[in-house]
Amino acid sequence: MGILRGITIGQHYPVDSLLHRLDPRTKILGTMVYLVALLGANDPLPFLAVAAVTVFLCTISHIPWRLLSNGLRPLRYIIIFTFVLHLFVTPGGTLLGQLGRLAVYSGGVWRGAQLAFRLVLMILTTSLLTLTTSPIVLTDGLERLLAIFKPLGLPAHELAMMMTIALRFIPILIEEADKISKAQIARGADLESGSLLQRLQSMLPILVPLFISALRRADELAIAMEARCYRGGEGRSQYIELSFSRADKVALLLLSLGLVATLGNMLWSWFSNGV
Amino acid sequence: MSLKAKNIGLVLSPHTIYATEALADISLTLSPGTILGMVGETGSGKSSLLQVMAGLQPPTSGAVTVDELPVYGSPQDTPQVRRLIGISFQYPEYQFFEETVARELAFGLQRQGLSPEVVAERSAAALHLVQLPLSLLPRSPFELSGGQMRRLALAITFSLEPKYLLLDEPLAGLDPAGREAVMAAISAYCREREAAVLFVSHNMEEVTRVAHRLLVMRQGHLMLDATPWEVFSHAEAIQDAGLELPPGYRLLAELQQRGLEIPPSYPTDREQFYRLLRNLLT
Repeated sequence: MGILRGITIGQHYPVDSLLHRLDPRTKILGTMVYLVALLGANDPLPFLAVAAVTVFLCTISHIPWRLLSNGLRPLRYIIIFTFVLHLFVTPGGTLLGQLGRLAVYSGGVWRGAQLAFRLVLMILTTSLLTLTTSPIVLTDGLERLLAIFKPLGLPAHELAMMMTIALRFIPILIEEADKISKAQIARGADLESGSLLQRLQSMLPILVPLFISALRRADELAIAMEARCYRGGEGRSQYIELSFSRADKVALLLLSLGLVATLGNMLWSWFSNGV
Repeated sequence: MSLKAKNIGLVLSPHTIYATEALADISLTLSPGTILGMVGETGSGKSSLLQVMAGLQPPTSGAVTVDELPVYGSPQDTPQVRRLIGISFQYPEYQFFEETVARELAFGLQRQGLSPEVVAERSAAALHLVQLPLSLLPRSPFELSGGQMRRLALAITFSLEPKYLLLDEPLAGLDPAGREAVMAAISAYCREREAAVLFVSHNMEEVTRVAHRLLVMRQGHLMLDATPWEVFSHAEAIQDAGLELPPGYRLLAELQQRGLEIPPSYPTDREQFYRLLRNLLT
């Protein structure tokens, strides 16, 4: 079950750093601004600026590079595929080499590298968000941000609660799947050989018990929540109230500047290309 | 001919801040015809050790061999290793997935390439061992009571006829009648098949009723490996391991502390215990 061990979605790495101490709302908004900036950065200079910001954030987060690069590993084929695809299908620039009907232009190399790096940066920064923020604090922040849309009928608290529970259950279910598959292997199940169909069939002794246990856990959790008088977000208070610190205010100011710069850059390149 | 663990060390989640040493330098031998009991607090490494010995969790250091065959050797040996060693996890009834009890029992047996007649024969024998009626065969395993489910799960492990049987908390969550039935089945299996059983429990009293030798685990270390009587003479070590002596032995220890001479043969059942007490007090 090596595949399951590699999953790092929603993993939290509890060390102390400036990024860890920031308010979750700052970090969520920051990630959103960052993604806009990343998608808008088409020219080399803005792109390098965004990459520099990423390296800076990763460095001050006190999270080992090894852990960050582990998060990239499950997606390495997609990243390589993106690069290779754009290498061959993008015309423009000078012709670098030709292989039958496949031609590689310098524009393709630049475009492929840019998109592959964009994926890498996107994964790094979004995983930085969950690595520096505990799931509970993260969903708390999300709930407060979504509360703006409450007048429109958005069930902000319920959405946040669902996310908390889902995040909490990921490691539990991974551990459970690991245990069940070990138990079935000990009973003689063969999970590694055979045709694709046989291997899919051999997943059944793992999936059935896993689903049964997930449903049982959900049931028990619901009963436990009701026994503690949980009745949704109405009038619910919080043990730890979120508050913006001075660092948050500085970060938000920098974010607004970044957003202005991004939008300015996008508008400028749009006009200069249009003319 | 035995299942041997030599200098086993196990580090979980290495190279992260979550890295923990689950097992440290553990060596032990499991020989046919004996029942070993293993006790220790939650998190003392009992389940990890069982998984390492069953060939399901490669150790960080050390080696495991079964009948001189390396457990973590070449993949060609794996089927034979799996056939020699049987393991039942905590709450084994959570692994059920088939529609009937009969098919649940047949799952592992069919994968050993046995004929339908042999599968039926072995299934019936295993049910008999755990004292479940054959009338359950066409029923769904999910309809059984908790105690019946546990016994069926053990019957599945028994039916594969492993020479070395590792059981993780087979008695957890059972009522007294269920415990009796499961303990009787474990003893019977060991006797009839000349098998070796390693049996993990929280409860010292229960383990000692069936175990020939007792292992005490504490924080990933194997603290004691001796006959139950010898183990109980280390009252302090047992307390350090977060465990409690069975009441009868607490009484004997108390009497010994007060200067009474206690013979070094340990009482294996209630009858012998009473006889010893009677001798001591007269």
